[in-house]
Amino acid sequence: MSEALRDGFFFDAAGARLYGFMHPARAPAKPVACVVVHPFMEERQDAHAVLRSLAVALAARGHATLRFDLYGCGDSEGDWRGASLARWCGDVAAAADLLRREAKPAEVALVGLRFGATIAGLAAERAGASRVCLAQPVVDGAEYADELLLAHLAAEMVLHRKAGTTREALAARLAAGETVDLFGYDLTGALDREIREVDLARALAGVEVRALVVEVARSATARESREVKALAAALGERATVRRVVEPQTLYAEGKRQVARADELNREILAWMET
Amino acid sequence: METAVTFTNASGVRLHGVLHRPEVIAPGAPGLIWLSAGQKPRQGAWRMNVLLARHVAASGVPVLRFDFEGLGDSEGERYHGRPVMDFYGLVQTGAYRQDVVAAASFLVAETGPRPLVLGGLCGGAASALFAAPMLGRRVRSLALIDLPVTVSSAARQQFLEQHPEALVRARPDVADTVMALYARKLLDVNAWRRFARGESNPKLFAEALRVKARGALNGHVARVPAALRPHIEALLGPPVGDVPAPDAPPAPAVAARAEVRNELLVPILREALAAGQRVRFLNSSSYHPVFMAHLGERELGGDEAALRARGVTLSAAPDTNHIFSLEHSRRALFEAVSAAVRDAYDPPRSAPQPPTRA
Repeated sequence: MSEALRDGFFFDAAGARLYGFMHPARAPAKPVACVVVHPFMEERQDAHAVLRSLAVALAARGHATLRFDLYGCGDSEGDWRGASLARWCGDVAAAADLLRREAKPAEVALVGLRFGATIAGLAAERAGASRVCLAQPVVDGAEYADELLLAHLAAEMVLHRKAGTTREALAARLAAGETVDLFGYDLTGALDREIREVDLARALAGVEVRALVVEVARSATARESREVKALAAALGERATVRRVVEPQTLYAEGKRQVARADELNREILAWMET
Repeated sequence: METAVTFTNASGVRLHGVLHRPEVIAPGAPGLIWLSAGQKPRQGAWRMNVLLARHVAASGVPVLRFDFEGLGDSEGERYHGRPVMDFYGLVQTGAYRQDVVAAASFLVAETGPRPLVLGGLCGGAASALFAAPMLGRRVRSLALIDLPVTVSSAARQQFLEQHPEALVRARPDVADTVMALYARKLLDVNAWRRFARGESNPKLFAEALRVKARGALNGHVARVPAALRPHIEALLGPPVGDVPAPDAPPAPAVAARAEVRNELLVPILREALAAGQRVRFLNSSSYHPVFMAHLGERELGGDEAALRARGVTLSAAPDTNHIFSLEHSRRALFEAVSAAVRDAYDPPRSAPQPPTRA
């Protein structure tokens, strides 16, 4: 692996410089190398340490691992106005190609969290991934898009003590092709429409890929995720489904500082050995 | 040109970041070190730190952003499992100042000797202020956005969760929020059901009402005959502000206060000003009252000219949340940081002037 691609670096993908962080294998190299796909908006911020710890753990087991920022996210170039699901899937494919060139693995796995898992699933075929690990994936894009709008309205409530608009009004503006400033991110009508059309279970139904689907619950008694169930059913025998209990939230600010998710890491590391 | 960079702090831990190096550095330009807030990675909420650094670098000023030890891409897990509020308390009292000093040495080594500007939002502002005296005259100016003026602790957070009325008493703006929430509940059938089942917290609403009433009547009490004032005061209840809650647990003592003022700020600020550092404070409108109650009114009194003579600028951005995510507040933040950068030029630069009619 070239020295310039250790730690942080920038690489080109479809004309934009994307930020990457390489974790070379620190044990005898295993045949599977991993590309990590981050969640979006503030979930990306709060999940950063957890995904970094996962990458460190994978590298320690011999899996060269690449973390990177998608177009318009993190330290990469661009903004959401120029983003699309196709662009983001292309970024994942470019990252997988880079990892193949540098680490020369027999296989590449994509590992994603939340909407990052969704992008990993959608990009699996294009990236030539033999396996995908989907941690707490967003399966129903429409539901997720509504969650984004509601989170924005909640933030407005805190500031102005009234929302000033409604979810329906924001959705109507997006449907009319307008761009809505969501908590500092410019969500275009086109991107909103793409997100709403996502049905990960349907998208993965015909893709020849092995999958680990991990539901992250806050307690052992938490209700089973309907989305994870639907996804597992669609994937059938190709999927291994696991449920882990992480008492601290992994992608939102919780009560304790979270630098790693031990249970999640354990399941993913074990599955990588299979 | 943005470059991924790595340097080590005083403990030998590798810190990772991004250096924004302009193609041509403007003559006399300072270097900006923009610091992350709280537990967040270096990109900041809504990528604010990335966009701000690009904005400043476009004017020919090198900018360094990096992750503190144990955060973002940087190494270390020293704080894993700690209560977040205690972690915030550490940041608010300068836990990362040594990392800032290491970053200053790195930036100068990479881009050549130049005056420095330190800045950040919230915990980033605290880290900047606490590091400033350690760097002395190497730092020319500070951009402190929503500088935390109280010290967080998990024990106090727990106390407030158990006694939300104590927070309402300490923060009249929270009383407004409580009133607004209860107003909405009037139309909420489920809220009425919870009320019927005795699951509502009438103490919280009553305290919010009292705090509002007290705020409205405060100015009039002075006009009441002196003999009657104690009776009026008794009717209005305990004062509003940073007061100990009467039913607080005895220990730890710090938990008994809704908010604890950061007493380290005043001496540190005076030290920075004595070193000739110019300080620009920008507050969000939602946070400004807290800032003024704990630091502004005590230390930054006087009119604008008097403050300026001390090297201080203080302003508040209207209709702005704590992370400055709205478009107009983003502009205010970018302008405040750009002004701090202009303060640090060698020789100092004035603000760009609008074109004048010939």
